[in-house]
Amino acid sequence: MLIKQMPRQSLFWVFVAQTIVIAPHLTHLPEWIILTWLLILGWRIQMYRGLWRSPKPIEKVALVALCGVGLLFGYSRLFALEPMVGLLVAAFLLKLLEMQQRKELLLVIFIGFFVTATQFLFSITLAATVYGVISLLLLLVALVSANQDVRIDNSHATVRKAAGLMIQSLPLMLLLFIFIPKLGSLWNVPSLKNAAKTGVSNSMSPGDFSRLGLSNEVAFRVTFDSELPRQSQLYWRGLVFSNFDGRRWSPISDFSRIQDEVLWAVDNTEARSNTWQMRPIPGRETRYQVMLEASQQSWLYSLPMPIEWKGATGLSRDMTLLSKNPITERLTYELVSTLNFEFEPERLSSLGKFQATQLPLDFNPKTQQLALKWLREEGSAKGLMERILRLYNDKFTYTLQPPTLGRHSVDEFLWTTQQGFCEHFASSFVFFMRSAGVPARVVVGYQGGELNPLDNYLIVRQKDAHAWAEVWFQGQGWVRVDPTAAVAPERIEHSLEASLSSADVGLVGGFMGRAGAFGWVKHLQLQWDASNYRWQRWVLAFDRNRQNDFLKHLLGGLQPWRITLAFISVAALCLAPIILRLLWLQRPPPLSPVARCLLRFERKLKKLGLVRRKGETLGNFATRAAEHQPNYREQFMLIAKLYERVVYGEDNAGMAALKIRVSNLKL
Amino acid sequence: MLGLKKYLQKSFLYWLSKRIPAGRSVALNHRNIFIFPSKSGFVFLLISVLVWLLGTNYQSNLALLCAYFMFAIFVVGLHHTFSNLSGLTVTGLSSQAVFAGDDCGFDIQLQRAGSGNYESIILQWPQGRAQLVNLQKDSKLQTRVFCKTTKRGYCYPGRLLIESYYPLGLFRCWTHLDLKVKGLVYPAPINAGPLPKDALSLREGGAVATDGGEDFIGLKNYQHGHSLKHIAWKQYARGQGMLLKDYCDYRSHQLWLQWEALPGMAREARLARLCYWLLQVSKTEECYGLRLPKVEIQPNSSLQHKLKVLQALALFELETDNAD
Repeated sequence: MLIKQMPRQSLFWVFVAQTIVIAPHLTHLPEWIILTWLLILGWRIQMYRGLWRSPKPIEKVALVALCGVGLLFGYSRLFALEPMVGLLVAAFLLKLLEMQQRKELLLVIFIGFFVTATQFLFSITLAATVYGVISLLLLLVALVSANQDVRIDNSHATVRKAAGLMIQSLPLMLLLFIFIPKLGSLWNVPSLKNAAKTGVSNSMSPGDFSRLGLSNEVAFRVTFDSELPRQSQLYWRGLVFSNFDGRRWSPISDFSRIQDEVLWAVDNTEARSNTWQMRPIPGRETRYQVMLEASQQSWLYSLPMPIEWKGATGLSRDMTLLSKNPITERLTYELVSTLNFEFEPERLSSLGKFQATQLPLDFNPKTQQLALKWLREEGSAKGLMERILRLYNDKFTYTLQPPTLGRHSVDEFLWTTQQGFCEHFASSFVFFMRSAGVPARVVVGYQGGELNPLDNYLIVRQKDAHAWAEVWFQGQGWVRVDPTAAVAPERIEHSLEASLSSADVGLVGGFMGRAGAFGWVKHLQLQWDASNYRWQRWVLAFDRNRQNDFLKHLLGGLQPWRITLAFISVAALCLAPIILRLLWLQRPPPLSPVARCLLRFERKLKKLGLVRRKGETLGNFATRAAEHQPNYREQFMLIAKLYERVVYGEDNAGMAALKIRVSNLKL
Repeated sequence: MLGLKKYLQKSFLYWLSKRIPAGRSVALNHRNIFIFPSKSGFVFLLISVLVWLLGTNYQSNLALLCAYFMFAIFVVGLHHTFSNLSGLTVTGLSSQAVFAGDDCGFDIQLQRAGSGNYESIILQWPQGRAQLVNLQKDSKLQTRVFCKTTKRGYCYPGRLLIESYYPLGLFRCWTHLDLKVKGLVYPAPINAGPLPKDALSLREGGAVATDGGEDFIGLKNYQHGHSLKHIAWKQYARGQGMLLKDYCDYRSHQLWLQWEALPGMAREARLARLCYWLLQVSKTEECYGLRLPKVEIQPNSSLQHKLKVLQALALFELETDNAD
């Protein structure tokens, strides 16, 4: 029957939409699903062209069974996101082969909507969003054409109709997004497998940071509410490493064991000030928002020293900012830091002092001897520090391609190779200071960042990863010392590229980094990053807290009646234009001038109680009216005569006369 | 159970007749259009809820946006489906007469007031096939919707279902209109063999006359070989085609289709056989008449005459039946 038939043109659109919808999943779908897809698509297209028959029931059962087996054994974990998407895509495919009727076609398209939504769990960049919008539009086109007459084939009109529907839905969609309360996860969901940890890791060996220097990936972006601090102030503190095993630096202990050493409450300023000796010096507070990319780690980056934070975030004893949960997806957090502060100025606990001076004694014997000798010669820790920094400045080279180091890595670096990247400088410096008994430790994080002038925010990339040192002095507390600044001050004042030799610059940031050397490419990159950042800040980071803040700000309160009232009124505003437009399309065509004259004449006579009967000619009506109102007899008859002349004689001159007569008629 | 169903159906029809009064021409608007999500629409809603759950559980704003988009499309689709019927004027035009058992076609006119397109509108009588129409370029459209017939008499097709799922198939928008139309259904002819001899009756005392004089009795279709003298030129000039003025001459005999020729048969059986003979006879040039109890139609051979006789057969003893 015509009504239940599947329109051919819609089948075509379903092919297109399905291809577009499945394509982004190709990266994580197993090969056999892709092969099945090609098989089914090919089969269906051959059916569409009338060359192949539709599959027999036994063949369908075999395909379903094969897919089932593939899903069961193809995935290592069954309860994860990937197998779920695999199942969905398999259903999406099998249904395509099986469908015969219009309503089944609709079901296939509906599943397409779900598959499109799952795409957003894998990628949430602006590009992925634009792609998703195209997928949705194609699905809508398929849906519209599925409901069209089989005999009509006007793809232009179909696409226009679908695009119109899409545009009309957007305001309502945004409204729902803003007003519908966001709930947390309703139940535990399986997460993505294979999420690689990126960026700074929780240990440091030679070579780690020079590898990061090759990556142009974004680590985080920062928007400052107040003035941007100087580039040389932008030390994004991540982790503190106090343990050294001769090759690898690592934190004192596992995070799970230092949870009781973390302050989760912001308002506990007294404890911070007295017990922990973290003392802000007023004057240089700065407020900023950081949008951290998923790092799969559980620490955050901040400018020292953070004094205000929100949410599931805490400050540890060594002034690192920790998150209660690993950062598995992009996280936005707001902080206030003071750039002037004192940290443990009065005394270092004996445990603290032990941790900050411990060394593996059977490593780097030359450094250990020389450090003690130099301390004797200089007489003070400060003098010792200045001497080693001077040595860096005179003799050392800053390079992304340092020579490899053997067992006594610090000895070899300090006295032989003298070429290295930030981790070599930080590591050797701290080892040297500790050898002389001065408390010191390695701090890792990021330094600097690139200002995007288009939107005035800072982009910090993996190549900005940095390692520096902190040295403790009696009365001053922990002081930041960056040995890299001694050898390559441009690295701190400007950027990594500015501090490197031309041979090294070519390595920074991979291909995209090199392309950035051209001005216009750089501009495009910044433009693209700015739109991405804006998109992420305003849409993706719109979580429950932001929703509440926004609604409170907008409505002056969060009472249900306020939200409901606002929702209904704005929803009406969204729908009104659509309804008005549809009504406008239905409006009757404008009346001809003659008809308008007639209407006017009738209205005038109606005041006298004279109504034209159904089917009564104007001539008869005028006669009847004249009997009622003999005074106007001539006028009535003239109007009737003129009317007939205009209508039946197509007399345009009569039209003007009729108009004048009718408007001059005063009763 | 059956009784209840019938009762509900009856009360629904009563309610409909109050809600949407019968009329030759009905303008569709919010007062007489119904709209409700279709089965597919409910499936779509279900899937949008699943997408919402996905977005909520994975805390993915994009998946949430996708769910809200689906919901927004659902709401916007409602208005579009509604306006795909609203604003139309449906008029019942003529119908053609058919023999019982054939499909009776009713001409229905759809007219739009504005300029908006109307697509994929389904027209269907309760006992009939669905007809799909589109109103795109022209503001007016005429289509023929067929209804099954079972017995002779007037065919009252009931309420015309007009429905549409366009553009998204998520909503069903429909109405039932009583367009006050009826179709004439002739008895289905049953082969009764040749006309019995006693149907032939000689005309009393008449002399055979040739073409040319006598009583003008009507018009019939021109067939090749007829004398040009008898062509109805006046009608031809009006564009009614080539017709012949028919004169019933004083032929020697006349045919009578008679009730009594089929003794012992039931009413319907007799009418069916009479209908068969009538169709046979009307193929010739003979004049024939009809004699039923209380009905007599004088012999003639014109087209109108044939239709008159057929109508008499169709409605024989039925006027009272249909009154209630």
